[in-house]
Amino acid sequence: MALLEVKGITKRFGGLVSLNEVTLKIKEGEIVGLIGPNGAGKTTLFNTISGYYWPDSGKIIYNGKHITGLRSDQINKMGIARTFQSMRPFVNMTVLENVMVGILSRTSDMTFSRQKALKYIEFVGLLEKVDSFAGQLSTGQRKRLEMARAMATQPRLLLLDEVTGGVDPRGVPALVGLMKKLREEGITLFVIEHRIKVITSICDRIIALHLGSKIADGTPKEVTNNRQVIDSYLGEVYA
Amino acid sequence: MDQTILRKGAFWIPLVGLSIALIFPWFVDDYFIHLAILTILYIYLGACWNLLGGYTGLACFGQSVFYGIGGYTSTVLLIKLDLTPWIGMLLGGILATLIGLMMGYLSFHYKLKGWYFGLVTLAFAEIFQIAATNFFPGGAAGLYVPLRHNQILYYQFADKRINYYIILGLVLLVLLITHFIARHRLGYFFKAVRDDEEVAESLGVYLMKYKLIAMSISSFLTAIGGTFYIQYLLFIDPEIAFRMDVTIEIILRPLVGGIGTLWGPVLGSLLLTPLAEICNVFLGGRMGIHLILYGIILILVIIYSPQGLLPLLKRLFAKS
Repeated sequence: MALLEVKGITKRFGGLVSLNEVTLKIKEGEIVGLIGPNGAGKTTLFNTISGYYWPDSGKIIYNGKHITGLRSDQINKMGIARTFQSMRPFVNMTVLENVMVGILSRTSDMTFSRQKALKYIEFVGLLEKVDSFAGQLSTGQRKRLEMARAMATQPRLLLLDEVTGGVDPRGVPALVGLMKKLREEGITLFVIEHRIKVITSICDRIIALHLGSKIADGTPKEVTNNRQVIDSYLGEVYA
Repeated sequence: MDQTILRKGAFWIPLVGLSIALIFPWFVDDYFIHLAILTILYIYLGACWNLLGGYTGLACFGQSVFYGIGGYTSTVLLIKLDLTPWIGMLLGGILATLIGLMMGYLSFHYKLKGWYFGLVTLAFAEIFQIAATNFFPGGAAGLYVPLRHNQILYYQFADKRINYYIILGLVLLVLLITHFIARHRLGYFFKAVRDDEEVAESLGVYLMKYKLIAMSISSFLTAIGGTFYIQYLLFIDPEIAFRMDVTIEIILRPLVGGIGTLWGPVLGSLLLTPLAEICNVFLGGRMGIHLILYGIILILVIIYSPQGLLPLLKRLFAKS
C-alpha cells in the first residue's frame, strides 16, 4: 500500500486549471522528485496535498485514509509536513521559538519541546543562530529553518519545496546531505527542485508536471530522456 | 554588559514602580488618585487588548462592546435583582465572552484578517451603541447605579483609595496572565498566528481554536474592567459604555507603548493618560484636544519606532 495516493486531483482558480487530473503514488521510504517549469502546478500540488487548498475534484489518500478536505493542521497531525518555497519564518520569533511551535502542537511540555527543538536545529546546522530572530537570517539559513520547523512536527512524509532555491551553490551539497540524512531517519520525501543535478542524484523516482498535467513518472534516467519533458522544461538531454 | 543592565532594569524598574504604586495613594489627594485610577484602568484595558491584538495579531476594534456589556450587565442585575456587582461582574464577563466568541467565530470562519476583522468588530461596536440607546434599560438617558454607601458587598466605596487598589490588583493580574501566556505554549501559538497563520496551521496549530481562546480571554477581562469603572463612576449610559473613543484610547496604549510586549500598555498609559489630563487642564478643557496630541505622538511612533516606544527604549539602553 502506498503511503500517499493522489487520484485525479483537479484544482481550478477561476478559469485557470492549475492541476488537471493529477494521479500519482508515493511509497514509504522513497525520495520522489517533482519537476516542471514555473506555473506547472508543483507548489499547487503540494498545497493541495497538505490541505492548504482543497481540490475541486479527486481524492487524496494518506496511509489508507481519505484526507481530502481536511484542514492543514489536521493533515499535519496525521504525518504530512511541508516547507514553503517563499520562506515564511515567524519573523518576530527566534529560531528556537520557530521550531518549538511544531513540537508544541503535539505536547505542552515546554522543557521537552525546547530540548527537542534544539536537536532539530542542530540537525540542520543552525545551532549558533538559535536565539536570533528569524527575520535576521540569510536565505540559506531560512531554508534550513524551514526544514527544521517542518521536521519538528515529526512527519512520515515531508514535502520539500525548492529547498535549494536561491541558495549559494556552495551551500547546496550541505542541503543535499540533509535530505539524505532525512531519508536515513525514515522520512519519505517528495521534493520540488529546479536543480536537475540535485534531483537526479537523490531521487528514486521523478514526476514531471506541465501546465497542470503529469507528463512523466519514472526513474531519473527515464524522465530526463522523455521527449515531452525535454521539450517543455529541460531543453536538453541530461546524461 | 548591556544585557545584564537590561535584565537588571527589567527587574528593578517594575519593582520600584510597583512600590511607588502601592504607597502612592497615601501621599496625594483625591484628584491625583482619580487620575491614577484612570491611568491604571487604561493600562488594564490596553493589556487586555494587547493579548488579542498585540500577541495574536487580531486588531479588534470592538473592545467597547465587552467593556460596555460588563458595565451594563452588573448594573442592570444590581438594579433589577439587587445582585452584588461582584457576581454581576463575572456574569458580565461571561456574556461578553459569548459575544466575543460569536464575533470571532463569524470573522474567523470566513478567514477575515487584518482590516476586515477590524471592520467587523467596529460594526458590532456601533450596533451595540445603537442597541443600548434604543433597547437597553435606561435607554439614552442611562442608568444610575443604586447607591449602597460604602459596602464591599456592593462594590461601592467612599474612599477612592480602595478603588485604586482594586484596579491595581486587576492590572497586576492581567500582566501576570500575559507574562504566563507568553512563556508557555499559548503565547507561542498566538505569536505564530500573528506572524503567519497559514504556516502556523501547517505546523499543526488549529487556528479557530486559538484565535477564539485569545478572543475569550480578552473579552472576559475587558468586561471586568467595564464593571470596575461603572462601579467607580456610579453611572452608565450608551455613550460611556460603547462610544468609539474608548476603544481608540484602549488601543493607543499598547500601540504607542509597545505592541505585543508585556510592559507596552504600562508605558503607553503612563505617557498618554496624564498627558490628556494636562491638556484638559491647560488648554481650556475642550473635549478631545488631547487627541490632537495623541495623533502627533502616534505619527512619530509610527515613523521612528513602529513597534512602539518600549523597543525604542531598549535599543537606546543597549547602545549606551
